[in-house]
Amino acid sequence: MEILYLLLPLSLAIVALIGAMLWWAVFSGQYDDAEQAGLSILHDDDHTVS
Amino acid sequence: MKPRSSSSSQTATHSQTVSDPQTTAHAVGNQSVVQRRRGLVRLGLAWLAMMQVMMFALPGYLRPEAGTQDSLEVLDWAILLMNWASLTLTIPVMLYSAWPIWFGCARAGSTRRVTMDVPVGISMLAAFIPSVIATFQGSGEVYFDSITMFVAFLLTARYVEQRASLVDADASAQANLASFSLPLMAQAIRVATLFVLIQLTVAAVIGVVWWVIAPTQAWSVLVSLLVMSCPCALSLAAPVSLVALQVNLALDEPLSTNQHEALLERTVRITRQNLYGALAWHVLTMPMAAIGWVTPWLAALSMLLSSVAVLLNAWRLYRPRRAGLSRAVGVLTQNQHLRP
Repeated sequence: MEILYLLLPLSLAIVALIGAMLWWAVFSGQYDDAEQAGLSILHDDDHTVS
Repeated sequence: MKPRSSSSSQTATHSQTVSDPQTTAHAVGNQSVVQRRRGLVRLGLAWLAMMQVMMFALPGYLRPEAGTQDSLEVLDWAILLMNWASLTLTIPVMLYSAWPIWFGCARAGSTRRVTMDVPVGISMLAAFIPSVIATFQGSGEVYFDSITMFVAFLLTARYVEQRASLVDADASAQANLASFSLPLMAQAIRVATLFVLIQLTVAAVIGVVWWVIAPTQAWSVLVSLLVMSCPCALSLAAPVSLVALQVNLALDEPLSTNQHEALLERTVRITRQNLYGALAWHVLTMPMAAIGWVTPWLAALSMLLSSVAVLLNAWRLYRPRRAGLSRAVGVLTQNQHLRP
């Protein structure tokens, strides 16, 4: 059961890492608009360059 | 159109860089974008901590069924470690995720007007402080899972409510809705505040009585009474049905006056059902807790069940058309508006 001394801090570290990733993802604007990126290919500039 | 090719996007409001005229027309200012992001992070962290703390709490729930003396010792040692881990995770939830609640308490204190944040804050402290003491002492029940769960659910409800209040940008409709929803909110706050004050008084009195009769069980009874004094179902009652109303109003084609009236009436009815139903549930379970039948984790479970019942009841009101559902979800999660 001594393994808990390793596993518990490890789980806390992973939670902290996930939290930091969430923080970064939200504040870099990734969740501001989840639809437009998928639609952007439809709004492409179709003019051919001659 | 090229959304966010560079990552340094916090300078401009993100929705405005999108060329779709429908979304730019109602684009929200920089301020509210930052606010929304902050709300989202608070919410996400609360959910993350909640799931982890619930796993840490599992050995505590297993303890009554533990077999031999030997395994009991190991389990108690594990529970102590888990409690410290839970405490580590609950502190950021209390400080960062629950910040709007503390801020609301401070504002209520300075303006001397009781809001829903006050009873919520009192109950959170009432569950948190005994848990911290129990962790430091190395014995006794902890309620970190109840606290994180409570914060996560409450923040979710508030986030949804906040997003939905942006749905209808029409000023006059907004004013109409405000004149309709404010009395309901005020009623809910009045009931919840009265409830919490009575509950706290009763908890103190019963705690003293138990202290005189059976001191060993007094703390457990007191904490389960305090956990049950949490007005989360009461504080959800008005917001969830108002959210449902707002989404309904925004989704449907303009309603006829009769339909509109009927919808408002239904909202009032469901809000009252939720409010007084939750109150009745609390009043019914309180005597059981007072005579020591309800253990603290059972109290937390009962609290959670009443909140879920309130949500489900409000869900009856929320019947957007199937096609509108995905747009409603879009509105709640993103910077979009239902009405072009």
